[in-house]
Amino acid sequence: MTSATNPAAPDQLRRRGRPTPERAPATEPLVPRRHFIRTALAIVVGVYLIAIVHSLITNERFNWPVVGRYLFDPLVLGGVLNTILLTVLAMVFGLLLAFFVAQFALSASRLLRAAALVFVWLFRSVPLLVLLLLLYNIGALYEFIPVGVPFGPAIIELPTTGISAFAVAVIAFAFHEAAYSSEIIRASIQSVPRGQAEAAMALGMSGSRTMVRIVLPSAIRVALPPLMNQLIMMLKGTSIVAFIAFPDLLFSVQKIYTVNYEVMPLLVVASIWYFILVSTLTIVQQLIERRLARTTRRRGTAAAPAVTA
Amino acid sequence: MTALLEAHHLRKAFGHVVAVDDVSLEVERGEVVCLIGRSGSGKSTVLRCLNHLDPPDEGWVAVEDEILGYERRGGRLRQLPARTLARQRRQIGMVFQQFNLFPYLTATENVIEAPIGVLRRNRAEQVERAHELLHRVGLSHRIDAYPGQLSGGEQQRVAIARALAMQPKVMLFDEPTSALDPELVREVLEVMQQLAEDGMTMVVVTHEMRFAREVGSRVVYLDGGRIVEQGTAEEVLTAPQEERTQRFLSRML
Repeated sequence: MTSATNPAAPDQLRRRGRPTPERAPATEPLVPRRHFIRTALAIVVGVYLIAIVHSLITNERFNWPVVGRYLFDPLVLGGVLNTILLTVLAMVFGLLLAFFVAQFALSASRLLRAAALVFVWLFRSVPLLVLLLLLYNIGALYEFIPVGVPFGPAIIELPTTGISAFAVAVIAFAFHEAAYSSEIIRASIQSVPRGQAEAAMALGMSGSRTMVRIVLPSAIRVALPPLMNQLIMMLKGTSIVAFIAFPDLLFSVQKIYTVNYEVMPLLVVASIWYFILVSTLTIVQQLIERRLARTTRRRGTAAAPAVTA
Repeated sequence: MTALLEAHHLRKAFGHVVAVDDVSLEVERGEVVCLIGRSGSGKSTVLRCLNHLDPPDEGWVAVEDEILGYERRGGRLRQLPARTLARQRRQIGMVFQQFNLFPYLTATENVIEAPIGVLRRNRAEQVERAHELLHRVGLSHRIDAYPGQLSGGEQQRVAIARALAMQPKVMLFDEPTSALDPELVREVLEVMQQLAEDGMTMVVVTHEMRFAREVGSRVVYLDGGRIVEQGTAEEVLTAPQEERTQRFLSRML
């Protein structure tokens, strides 16, 4: 049998993107099974998707012209910027704090481990909204927060009465983020085989150098996906600052629709912006992961061509 | 002249299990000391005590009379800061059973990481030296490979080059061929034999009795965390005096 009289086999190979070998098949062609249920399901899902898109276009109550008008409204753009600013600051402070909490959790000292445990337990237990409201009204508990020696003299006393909604939000989100991220960071550090650190120590590296140069580069590959998840959840979670009247994205559109009553179009505007922000983060995550994976990916391929010195 | 490496009455327990019980050892320059014994006899822990990866509970280790991690003051040994121990460890190279190469660095980067980061040496010069060392262990063609692209034997030879890059005074080998496929064992043992012939002082935990016999200048048999018998390879391996050594060796051969 020649390949001319049997076009099925080479055709299948071509479809999978492999180079087509110019030779007659050595045996009878293999015919893959048809998957009727899978095909039927795909058609049903496809029809539903078209129906959803159709309704988005034809339902006039979405009021797309209003959506378009307010998408780049200065008030909305200001809200987007505030949301980004709040997320970035809370992430930076949160991750810094999380790293130190994770180090405490891995410390040899029982007291430091307990302190980390209590921190995580506390800030994972209190709902974010409750934490936000507690901090916003902290003046009812402490009029001043002294910075200095406990029970001793204070260097400065921070007044709590005039504290801004923005500062409260950054602190609340940073603590919340730190509690969750510290667990991610701790687990990722523990996932690095002990031998890595031992080899580094045996070479005479200090503890901190071992952590920064050897352990963290391995740990970050484990920690990145859950940390990005955490960041995306926080980005959307910042919308609850509307409760303490901080003009983030959600609060900004609320301000607009309480005046013009175009509630749904403006909530769609907010959704579109959240969608854009989260998509950007997802793309950034993929870029970072691809970059980190370079060395692992090269593993499979480079074995064949021998490198000459 | 005193011994290059001296272990003085080491004791190490993990919980209630005493892994090392009153072990003293002196290693002279150029000596190849092989530690043998059943698994669980404490030979690996003795080795790990020698560079304080497992800090001993009692006793001390000294390299050229300098005690690791402690200083003598007022009739006591007081612990020194961790960076002092890190500095002292640079004189002691170590090769692990599981290689423990840094997975995201190439062979060359694995070798230069510590000389550049710790000793602050010039990078270009160290890359050149790393290539020489990799050539010496027969890996000239694998200088840019990542650990995952290397066979176990190749990884272990990179690990040896990495340890040599710090120009240690003594090399510790912790069962360097135990994780290898049988056909890869020889390439690693050959590199170690060459190293011994070049005059490197070595302490080797091993199950390779032929290596111990041919390369080892001294063989130490451990059981239950204690040294049972030691002597030249000929004495211990061919005519062991202790009954426990005899039983162990008859099972090994």
